Amino acid sequence: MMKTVTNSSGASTFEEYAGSAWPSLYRYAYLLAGNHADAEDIAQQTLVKAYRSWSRIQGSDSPAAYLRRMLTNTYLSQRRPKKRRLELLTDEPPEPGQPVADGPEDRMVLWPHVTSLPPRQRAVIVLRYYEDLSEAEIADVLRCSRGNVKSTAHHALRALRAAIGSDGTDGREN
Amino acid sequence: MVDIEETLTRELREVANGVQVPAMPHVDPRAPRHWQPLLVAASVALVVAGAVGLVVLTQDRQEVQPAPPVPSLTTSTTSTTSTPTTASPVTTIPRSAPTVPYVLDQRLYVAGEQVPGAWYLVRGVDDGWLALGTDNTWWWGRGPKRTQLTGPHDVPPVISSNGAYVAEIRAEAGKPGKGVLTGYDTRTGDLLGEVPIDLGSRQDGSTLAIWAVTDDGRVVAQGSKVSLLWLPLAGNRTVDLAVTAPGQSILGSTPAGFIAVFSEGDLAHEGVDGDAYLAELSDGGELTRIGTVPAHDKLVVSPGAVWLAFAPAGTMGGEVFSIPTLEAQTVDGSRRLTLSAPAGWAFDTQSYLWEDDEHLVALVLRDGDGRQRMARCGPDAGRCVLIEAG
Repeated sequence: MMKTVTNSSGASTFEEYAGSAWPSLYRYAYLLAGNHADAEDIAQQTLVKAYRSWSRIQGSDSPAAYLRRMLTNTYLSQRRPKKRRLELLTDEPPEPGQPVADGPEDRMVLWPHVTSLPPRQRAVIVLRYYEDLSEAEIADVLRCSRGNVKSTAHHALRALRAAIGSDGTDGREN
Repeated sequence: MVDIEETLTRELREVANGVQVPAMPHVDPRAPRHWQPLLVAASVALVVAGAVGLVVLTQDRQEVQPAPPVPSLTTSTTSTTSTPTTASPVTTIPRSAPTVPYVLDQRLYVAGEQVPGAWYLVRGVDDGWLALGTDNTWWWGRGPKRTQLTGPHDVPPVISSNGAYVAEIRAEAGKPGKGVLTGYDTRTGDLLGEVPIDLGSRQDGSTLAIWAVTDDGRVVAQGSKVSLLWLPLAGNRTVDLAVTAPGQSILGSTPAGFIAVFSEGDLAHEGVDGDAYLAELSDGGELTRIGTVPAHDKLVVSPGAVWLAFAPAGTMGGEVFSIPTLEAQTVDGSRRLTLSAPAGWAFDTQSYLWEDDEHLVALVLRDGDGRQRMARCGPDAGRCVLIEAG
């Protein structure tokens, strides 16, 4: 069991903070990863790193922003070969012939294409349109220049527009 | 017609709101993250120790163990004010081949494949690497596919830590002392751009070098007469660091930030005896200290900026080709330990690299006969083991 971390100021413990932050952390991880297995892995790695750096995070202006940066970097630094990735163990194979019901995600226009973007472009898109961060804030998260954020977003939006066809040419990405 | 921005905002929120958030998993920072939670088909319930749980499998297939009951991250009545400092003796270290490019016995391996040729060294990751052949030719590649940098290369090319960008300096034919700083995107092969640059002169010791290529495609080239930040992806601009950050030498770019050192008078990159520090460098060329790093001869940072590994300053001078130990330290300085090479072996002074935030891979040389093997070290385990490679 992980030990409790406290500080002399009586600020919240790591467990308390992690418990409250976990849902939003996980949702953000899911938008980046696009599947539950990788999202859980990324979010868990982030918690481990956060635990190790808890005193630094507590002292930061915004622990949430700190964690978001850690999670984003964790996501972007993933480079495990497929052979080391998720493996599925079941006692039985899936039952054949069962129709797979379309979920809400399957009926979305852009989300399926967002999951196909390169990781850095996806991160910029999620930070901009889900986390609602400005270019400067995204640059801070990604530790890059605003110009790089702008160009990455431009490439991502152009790819999304191309993916959904000419109907997307009127998108207001600028 | 689709309004892309509005649609993105709406769909990302719908997806996020529809996500079923699992219980927060057990988090033990000392445990190896060698396992992945396994998806269990909805129709299959695996009962472990009286609880429905997830089955986990170590990546090296050495252990199968049940995940701890969840949720288990509960407030304990026992308090501590520091992170753990002792290594767990039971932590396993995978013995599989490195997941980053490596050179063993002059053979280069990338993504599990041998790249033709004979090689001295490689930098980068499988998706973007830079290697020096024994014929002194430089190549960059993506996976096993490779492209030669045409040079000539009095100044070694440099690759970003994420392998995305390579920068090189080429001499201009017929123009002594004049060259071109240029770069490539290893994912597309595209030229990033180029700018003219003064190469300096070996005779007066003013030669130039590329010191940093960042993960977002910025390049720092410095010498005693030139100190330049090049922004090929931001309008191909250059910034004179001698003006914006006088007396500061950039030693490299890492996932934790730039490593810089103040050098009185002339720029000096020989050794890092000064107060090396972590820094951010703005596009305007302002250098801001964000942390410290230990005095070192060679230092590498893990991809997620969790760990440093380094040879302390003064350990690699002269004819030293191998050293028995490396130091490992968390970037925030909360933990530090010494990693010893496997018994009978010593670390090659130039070839060690973090493959992820838990493992360092290193070329090791056998005492006496110089035979080469690859080793993997785990700071959480506090030790290094020989691994299968080649």
